[in-house]
Amino acid sequence: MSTLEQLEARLARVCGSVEVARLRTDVEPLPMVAPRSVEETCELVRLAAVDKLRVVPIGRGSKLGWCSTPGHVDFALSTRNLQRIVSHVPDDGTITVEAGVGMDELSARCRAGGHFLTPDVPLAARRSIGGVVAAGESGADRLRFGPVRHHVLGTRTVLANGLATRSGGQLVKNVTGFDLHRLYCGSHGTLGVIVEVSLRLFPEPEHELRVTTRASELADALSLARRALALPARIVSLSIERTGDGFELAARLFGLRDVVEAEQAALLALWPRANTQSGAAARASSEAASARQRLALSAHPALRIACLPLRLDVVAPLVQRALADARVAGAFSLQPGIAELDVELAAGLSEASALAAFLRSLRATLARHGASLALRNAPRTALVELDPFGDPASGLDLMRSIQRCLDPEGVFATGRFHGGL
Amino acid sequence: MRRELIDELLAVLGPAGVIHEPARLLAYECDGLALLRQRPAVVLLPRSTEECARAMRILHRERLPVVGRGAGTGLSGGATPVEGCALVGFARMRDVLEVNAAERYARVQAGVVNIDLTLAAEKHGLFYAPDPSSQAACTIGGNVGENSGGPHCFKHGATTRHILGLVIVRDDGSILDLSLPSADPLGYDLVGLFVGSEGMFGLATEITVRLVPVPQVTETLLAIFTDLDSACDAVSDAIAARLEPSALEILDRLTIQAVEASVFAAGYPKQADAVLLVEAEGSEVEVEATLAPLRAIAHKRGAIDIRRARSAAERKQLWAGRKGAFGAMGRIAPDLYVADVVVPRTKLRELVAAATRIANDKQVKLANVFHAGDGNLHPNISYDRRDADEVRRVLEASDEIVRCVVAAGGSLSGEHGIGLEKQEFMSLVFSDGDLRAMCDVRRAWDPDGRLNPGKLIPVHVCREMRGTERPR
Repeated sequence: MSTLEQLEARLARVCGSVEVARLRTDVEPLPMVAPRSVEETCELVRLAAVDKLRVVPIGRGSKLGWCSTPGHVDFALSTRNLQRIVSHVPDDGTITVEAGVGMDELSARCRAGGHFLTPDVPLAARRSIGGVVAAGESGADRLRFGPVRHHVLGTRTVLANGLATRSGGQLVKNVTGFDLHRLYCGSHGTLGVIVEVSLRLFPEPEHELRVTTRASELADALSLARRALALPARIVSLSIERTGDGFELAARLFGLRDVVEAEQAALLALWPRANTQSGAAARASSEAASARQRLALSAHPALRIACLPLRLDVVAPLVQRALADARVAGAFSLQPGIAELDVELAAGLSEASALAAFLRSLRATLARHGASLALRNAPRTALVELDPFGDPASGLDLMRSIQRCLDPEGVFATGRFHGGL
Repeated sequence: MRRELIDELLAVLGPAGVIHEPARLLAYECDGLALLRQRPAVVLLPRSTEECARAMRILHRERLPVVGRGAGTGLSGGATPVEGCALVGFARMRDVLEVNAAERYARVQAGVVNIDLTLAAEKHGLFYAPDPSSQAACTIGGNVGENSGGPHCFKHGATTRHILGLVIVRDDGSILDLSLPSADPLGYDLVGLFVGSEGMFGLATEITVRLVPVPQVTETLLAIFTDLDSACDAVSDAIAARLEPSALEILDRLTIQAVEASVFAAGYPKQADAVLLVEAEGSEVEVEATLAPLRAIAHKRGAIDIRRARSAAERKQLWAGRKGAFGAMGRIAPDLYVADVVVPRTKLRELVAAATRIANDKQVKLANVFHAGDGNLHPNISYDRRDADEVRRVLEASDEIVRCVVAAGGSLSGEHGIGLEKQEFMSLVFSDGDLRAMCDVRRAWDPDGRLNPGKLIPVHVCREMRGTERPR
């Protein structure tokens, strides 16, 4: 029996079966286990600790392309089979679920209880709540609700010592203990395996509208967006997407019917030739038309550029010019309210070294405007020269120290996250 | 403290920045939890991040414990000095460094008083949302340390949701600048982790906060009830109906009487057993759409009257009563024990009633004034600290209330923090493994455990952790 077969046999003894996972399309496959309970998860982590094996925690694997290639890894541990709804108290507006629950199922569950689930992420059926929280993935709806980390009330996380530990709780307000859940949120599984998440929920909207209009130039689209954002309206999300012959703006409005209708009237007064869809049609077309959705499906390299809201008026045209100069084509989507710009590099810059040089230069230019650039689905060869998350952050030494204090033996594989964490 | 060490600190901070005379140190021997007192060895009052860092380097070399302090209004003993410590206060760091109205943020020094930040933002049509009752005195630095709340956190969230960046002076006097504005943290969320760390990770000296537009319309209602249970039920109903006002506050009979007899008199009816203070904000349509069903709920639950503030002055007066409630309780007895627990919002009535029962059993004077919308109870017990037997009964009652709340799925604190007050209760809600993880993270920030030592983590866990290796 080979070493790999021996490992697989031992893993299978804990959780039944062993599958195969690829952390990236350009690296070798490795064994993957998907424990069926928190206890099995703890046992697998303990096994890794005792045998000095390195583990990569994953959810459904939809965001692995956000990370670098790790150093040595022995097996992947997926939370996808942790499917329990631990507690749902609709009248308290809170829910606690195991990490493997799909975002689509979770959202439906919340809706049945009269609540809206934020973050509203694209491709919900391919994402689990554990993966979303571990990657700190917010939705376009953060314009209204804020980032996902603000709504995680608590977590249960299996640490390198094999213990399932709690931080926070299930209550909407709580300052008991250090907020370690804030640390785990967005840490990409480099500190532990998030096995349970408690969330704050928001009222399910009584009425929903999607208002769209068009502009031929990016500057005009940005100006229309700026005027919409100056309205005293609580817009849920606002996007600008490049289409064949210009740009489409779309605003999502929802809430109490009277409020939404008043917001719609104000928006129509600002936006010429606007169209409105309502209800389920609005929701469906928001999802289908979203470039974020197409980007989430794409295997091409993609950029996520972020800055302060008003700087987008400078940053977006600058990126547009840089892409045109480099003859790069692909989806181009802006969220002006939250100052995020997503760009797909579908064609052009096929050489890894050319891609790396382009990104280094663009990142340096953007830094002068206080903007950051993250690279997703980057080819491994390009990552030799570039950190996909950004240039070294302030506090990186402290982050490494936190990682060593929580995982002194390095049970969780390093090298995937920012700065080699 | 050694004379030469005082001289060295004087050389860095100047004569106004070092307090070492025993009589002057008395003012710093406790925070708002006056039951616990300890005189610090020295009080340091830096004027800038750099001065703070230079002083911290000296304290690091001397291996002295350090306790940070905002305005000392904290109620859990978070700023209670420890023996032989240097207490670092921020009373001389009160500058609003920048208000960026277009991007809706402000940068302030840690000692800026909460209300002063809102006043600075107000002229730009913005405000800082977290509004603790002590907002006329408490500082943004202290708010960061405790992750403070306030009535309007029901809609806007507690301090942590409003902090965009920090400059932190570490245990060794190094400066960690996490103030570069960004939507998401690059790497681990150190800012989110720091907020609410009760001075045990470092000293925040400069803070970047999110500002929120002043709403178009704000409406305040006062619903009057003849019993406390019905007021609690009205709030539970409002939550269950998915309503989103900006604040839902309850005051009980004893609180109303104390407020009305004080300078904070707000016009609350003295014969009422409870009042529910409701505020809604937004567009005119939104405010009406929120308040109409709330009025119906209050009526259904037996409100005998619902009054609407007719002017900004009336609204201000209603809130002055709520925010002055703790001060007004000085009329009941010389001392006040302000408890702070959170309960699921489906169990408000049950747990407020349980607190009342416990107070009656222990024969202590209980007054309830609380953030009902968040389930954040403040069962306040008035007492006289010179009466040893009464002090014992107060502590027993508080202990029982906490245990009862935890047993019902509640938590130890909603906004005041753990500090010394609730340290030993931590094991009621967290396992030793949970607490060890907190110790591990703290060790990364403060390897020698010199920052606010002996707080938050129960003593038995600290003891087990002692001798653990320092991080590589």
